[in-house]
Order: sequence, then C-alpha cells, then structure tokens
Amino acid sequence: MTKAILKANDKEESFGVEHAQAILNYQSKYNLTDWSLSDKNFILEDGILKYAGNNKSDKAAKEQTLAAEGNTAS
Amino acid sequence: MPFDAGLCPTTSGTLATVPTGSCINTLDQTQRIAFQLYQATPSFLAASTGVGSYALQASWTPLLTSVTNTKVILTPVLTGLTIPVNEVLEDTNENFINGLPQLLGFGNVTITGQFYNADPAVIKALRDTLTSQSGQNAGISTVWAYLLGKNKRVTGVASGANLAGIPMYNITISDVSSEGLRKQNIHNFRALVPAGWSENLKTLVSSFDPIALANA
Repeated sequence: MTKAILKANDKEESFGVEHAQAILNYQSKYNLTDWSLSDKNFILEDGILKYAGNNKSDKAAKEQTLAAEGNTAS
Repeated sequence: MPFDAGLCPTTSGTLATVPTGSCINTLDQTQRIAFQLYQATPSFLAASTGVGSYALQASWTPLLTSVTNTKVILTPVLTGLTIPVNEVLEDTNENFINGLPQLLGFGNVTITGQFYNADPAVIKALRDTLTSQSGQNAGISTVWAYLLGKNKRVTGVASGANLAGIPMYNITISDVSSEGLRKQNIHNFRALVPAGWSENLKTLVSSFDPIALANA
C-alpha cells in the first residue's frame, strides 16, 4: 500500500494514502490543523492528495491518488 | 484481581504494602463514550504530551478516521450516566461459624445512561456494531471504552505507559421511548463491566475538550 507522510507536533507518521486523505478531510471539515502533509512524493491540491512523483512506473501510487479523488484509473 | 473464592489464597504472615497514594481525578460526570476494539498495544499514551497522547486532538483524528481495527467511534452526548457499586456476593447459611456468610466475591456492574433525542440512524449504527461486538457470546467482548467527561476528562485503564480502554460487555441501546406531549425521545444505554473493572482506572485531563470530538 502506498503511504503518505503527515506531520503533527513535529513528529512524522506514515499513513495509507486513503487514511491520510481521510485525516485531512476530517480536519478540513472541523477546522483542525494538527496534521499537515510532509511528504515530497505528494502535493495537496484543493484538499486532495495528489502524487507528485516523476516515476511513471509507479502505477499503484497513481491509482491511490485517483482513488482518493473518487476517479477510476484508466 | 478482586477477591475470588474459587482461588487458593495467597496469604502470608504479613499484610501487603499499601502505597501512600496521590491526588486522583474523580470520574465526575461522564458525557460521552468512545469505543474501540481491543488493542494489543493501546492506541493512547498516558502522557499528556507527544503524538499518541490521549490529551491531544492530533492523536484522536487518525483513530476516528481509521479504516482498520483501531477505529474509534463516539456516542452522542449521554445524560444521567451512572455506575453503581458492586454487589457483594455471599453464601448465607446459618450453619457457617457463628452464622457468618461465606464471601464469594463481587458482582458485575451495570452502567446505564440515556440518549436524549438522538438521531435514529446514529443509534442504529451504534447498536449494530457495539451489541454484536460485545454480546454475541456470554463473557466475551471485543470492545473497550474510554469515558469522556466533564472538564476535559478522559478515563481509561492504566497499562504501563499507555491508556487502555475499559472492557465492556453486553452493550445495548433500547428502542426509543416517549411519554407524549412535550416529552423527549429517550434511548436507554446499558453496558456491563466485570468485577474489578476499576482497579487500574485512570482519569486524566486532556488539553482539548474531547466532548467536542466528532465521528468521521
């Protein structure tokens, strides 16, 4: 499973991408700011975690990103 | 472990040392309950700082949003949650020495409370998951609980450096009741805790108000 690293209280922790997205969504919904993205492999665009890597062979990671967006990989 | 008449006594020539004791936080009013499946390693640290601490919202968010067995769910606000004392169980028989009863131990404790005007969908979801996890077989439960109380209290069970949940059994939420005109909808909450449940109880004070937590 592809992981994304979030940071809170100066400590990094890695979560499955969908879990990381759920944490960020929850925080956005309730105006919380404890966890922030701390992973150079991902960017946050309009609240959505997107894969920022340039390794085109990492299909799984792309699929995870698409899943977080609610789309289907083609 | 509470007294158990079925076990051989461990008495020796001296009484056990009793610690001096320190200031404890009272349970006071429990206002919500957070449930989680048993964890081999509790999800919360008992320390008041650092990621993982029961005291930080940052520790709760990943658990509330979890899709694994670490997921935490919350009840609506509870009214009138009460935890009575154990009943002392004794075998009474006039033929015992001087007619004094044989001590058998303590009974289980039934925790009760009410949900006022709760959303039926919330009640159904709690019933579906908590009752099945805690009451399928007598004496077996996979659920433990953290009591969330007045003035940012979080109560669980001390487990080394961690704060574990309180094992609960036969968790049920009744169907709605109403006494009619200008009366409120009430669901009764009920759960059992076994004798000895409070032996390592720990009530800590959080740095945020856990009553304000929301289910994901």
